Amino acid sequence: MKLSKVTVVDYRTSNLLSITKALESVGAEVKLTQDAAEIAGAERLVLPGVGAFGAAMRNIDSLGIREALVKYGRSGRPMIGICLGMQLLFGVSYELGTNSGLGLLTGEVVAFPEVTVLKVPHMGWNQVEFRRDSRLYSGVHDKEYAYFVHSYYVTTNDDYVSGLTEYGVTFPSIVEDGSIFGIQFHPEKSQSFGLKILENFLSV
Amino acid sequence: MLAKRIIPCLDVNAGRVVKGVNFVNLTDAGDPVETARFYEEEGADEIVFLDITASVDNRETMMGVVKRTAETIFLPLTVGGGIRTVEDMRRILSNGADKVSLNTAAVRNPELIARGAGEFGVQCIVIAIDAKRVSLGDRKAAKPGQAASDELIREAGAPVEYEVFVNGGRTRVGLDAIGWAKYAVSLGAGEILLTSIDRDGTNSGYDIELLRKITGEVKVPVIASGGAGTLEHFYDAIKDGNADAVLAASVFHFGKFKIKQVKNFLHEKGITVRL
Repeated sequence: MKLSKVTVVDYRTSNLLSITKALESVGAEVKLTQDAAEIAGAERLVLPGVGAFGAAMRNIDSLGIREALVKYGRSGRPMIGICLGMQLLFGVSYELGTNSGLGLLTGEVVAFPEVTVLKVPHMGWNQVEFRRDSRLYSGVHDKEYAYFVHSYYVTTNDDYVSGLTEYGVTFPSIVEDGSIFGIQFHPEKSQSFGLKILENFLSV
Repeated sequence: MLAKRIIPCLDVNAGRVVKGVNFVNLTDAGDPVETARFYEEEGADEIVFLDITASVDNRETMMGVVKRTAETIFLPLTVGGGIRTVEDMRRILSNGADKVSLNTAAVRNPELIARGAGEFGVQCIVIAIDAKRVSLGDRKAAKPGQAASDELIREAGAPVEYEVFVNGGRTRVGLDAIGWAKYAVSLGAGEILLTSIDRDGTNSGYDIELLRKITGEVKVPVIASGGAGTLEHFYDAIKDGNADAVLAASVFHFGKFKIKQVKNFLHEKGITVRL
């Protein structure tokens, strides 16, 4: 099997072991980087993420890689943001104040409304309902379960939305625009469903 | 809809699963990684490792176990036991665990919850509470030196009906379980792993009343633990106790139930599970 080269951005917030192993298990050769030039030269980019939005953007800025990420996103080469990494693709987040994101996609990151009786964080296995066909969906079924852990979600243009999940509100769990993808759940913790989504990303 | 989770718990000592795991189709029933993989294939929604090791050397062994497991299975992994500092948490999380479970150390030093949540996010911090029902006549004060601090008792309350025990259920600290759960959540606990000491190991069912009291008071997920013996017990914990997840050890380890079997039972009773 020919290995697909994937660059994973390490901006010092998250544990990258699981995502690295998950990508390797579906045939990726993974390179971790904190370097703008390596991001610029990547063939396929993964922006992972756990933690708070503002802290993540501050780390991205202190590494001096914001511009490289934005340029890469506009290059037409495949990019996927995972969990917080998906949220970072958007313009603005209201988690712990107002913070600007990469602005590659138009939309906002907002908190789950407190009026619902549901618990926050939204943590556990929930269904992803396909909204339209996607290159990420080859070999997976509609309404399969994925593992989510998050307190904020994206509101965006319907045109971007490929998958929806219901938790008090119906929110986008998979978005895409051309070669840019975002998934709110953790594919590296979602067993075969998650691994298949990652595998499909490798052939986008 | 969010599914209710079924979680097998593995006690690990010196790199081996203890408390007896008794499977067919498993080459080495004592290897935690292989056991975790077995449960992954059976449909577990999450894996909990409880490190019951006492020595420092064995803690190193545990790190290796966590890492190998995270490299092998693609499920959420929670690790508890012996975590005392933010540095301990960092090491476990950087070896691939998704959550850390704090028990005794959080009672001794509640600030640890806030510091861990601040550093890693509330979703990483599970507070394990071992609670025991206390009767009026039995409500002796905890012994000096073992008691929770006065400040903590002021915040969380002295025992009313259920009391918190630490050190693996051996030491009572004079702390109310419900008040402690609320206080821990206010400090940044993202989940409560609630074990009934009275029911643990009895196979007589989860303590529904205890579950109801805690799930009614906190807005974070609560994992029911201690007492599972029949399929109905799982259902009762979810339906009557409002548990978000059910944890069990022996009924799974000894093969009394397959995880799939529990899930099918719950599904037929109308509970949302990941089949």
